[in-house]
Amino acid sequence: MSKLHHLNDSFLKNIKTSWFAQPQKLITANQFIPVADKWFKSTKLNQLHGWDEFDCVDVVLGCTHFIESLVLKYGWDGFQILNEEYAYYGLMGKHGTELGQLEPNQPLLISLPNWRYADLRPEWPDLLKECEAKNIDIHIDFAWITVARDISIDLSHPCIKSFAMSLSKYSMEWNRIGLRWSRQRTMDSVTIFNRFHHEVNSALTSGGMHIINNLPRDYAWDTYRELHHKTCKNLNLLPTKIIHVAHTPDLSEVVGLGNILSTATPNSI
Amino acid sequence: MHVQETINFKLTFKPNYWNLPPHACVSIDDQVKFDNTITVENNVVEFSHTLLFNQPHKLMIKRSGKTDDQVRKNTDGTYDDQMLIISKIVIDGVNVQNIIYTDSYYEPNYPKIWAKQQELAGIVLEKKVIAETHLGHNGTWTLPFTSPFYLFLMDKMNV
Repeated sequence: MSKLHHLNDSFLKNIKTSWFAQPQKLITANQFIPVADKWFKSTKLNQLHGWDEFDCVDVVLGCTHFIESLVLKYGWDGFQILNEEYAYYGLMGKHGTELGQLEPNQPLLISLPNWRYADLRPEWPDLLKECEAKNIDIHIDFAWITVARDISIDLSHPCIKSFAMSLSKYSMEWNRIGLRWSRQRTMDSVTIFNRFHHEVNSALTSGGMHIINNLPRDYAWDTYRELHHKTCKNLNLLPTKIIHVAHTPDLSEVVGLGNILSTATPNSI
Repeated sequence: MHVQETINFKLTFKPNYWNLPPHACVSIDDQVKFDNTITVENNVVEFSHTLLFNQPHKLMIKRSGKTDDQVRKNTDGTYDDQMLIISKIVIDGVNVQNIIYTDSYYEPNYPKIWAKQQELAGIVLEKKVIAETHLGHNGTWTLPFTSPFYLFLMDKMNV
């Protein structure tokens, strides 16, 4: 598997450069949240139904913050993941569970779209049924949704309790801001970060506002759709629903396209 | 705009008895959620309850089943007793031990003869015992709280 570098073209780099070059305007979390909420929801490429049922919205420092908050609340052994999750779980000794073998009453943390499938997991409907039968709360890490297309999901399923998205996958790791949406707010580190401390770091929210003011929500696919497909054709790969990911023809491997897309010139298309 | 929340409650009890087990009746806002004897160690009582925001709420445990004959003196001078111990309470995924230590109270129904003996001996029995988790006498244990529960917890945080 090649490394799955994110898209990081000159346009995206310029957003960072301009932020550090220009005078800054102070944006508070209360100002940031409604604007960012609207920005994330403004995708025309993905259908996330039932989003409005999640009206407790908090700032997160990337989806990792969302994950860490859950881990802090439930403990390293108090939540479960499926196989084919991000490497950092395995690197820290957390291993996936097979579908059908999930532990009842133990929250499930799942990434969607999944990196391996570059899509929802194929077993998603069965997973929902199992979670429903076993009273398992689902928390979704939507880290890659900002660079995805044609993802359709019904968030109104009662097992889904919270989810998060961030700007990181547009190579905005210098800021990482994102939002967490919950059906009802619970006490955890994200809640404390947002509600107890008098101010969410305003450098974060101010930088985040600069990003979303300058970054069209569906920039990746609106800009690189044709090149994504052309590159896949030239390299005998299969296009996927994630801009910087392709599949080998036998679907056995994922291949990163981020560097190719990021360095493409208009003539490349 | 939310006006209520559904919260999960998980109470773990430990009984201590030689003859008859203690009885616990767990309720929230007068709605009974569990009413049975506690016979095994790590006896978990779990339930959900919908709480209206900005209202006072009460989690209550009515402990009963203790009669005078459930205390006996052994030949070596020790006593066998009947006790109900609250080992742990988790509300909305949060172990509320610290809140129990500051906000919970127990109102024992002291046995009349024993209470009189204490009085004659000059011992003043507390009507309300703060932070008691070992319920020796029959009585009612109460934890008052408010909803949204996360805000209630946050109000208790001082640093």
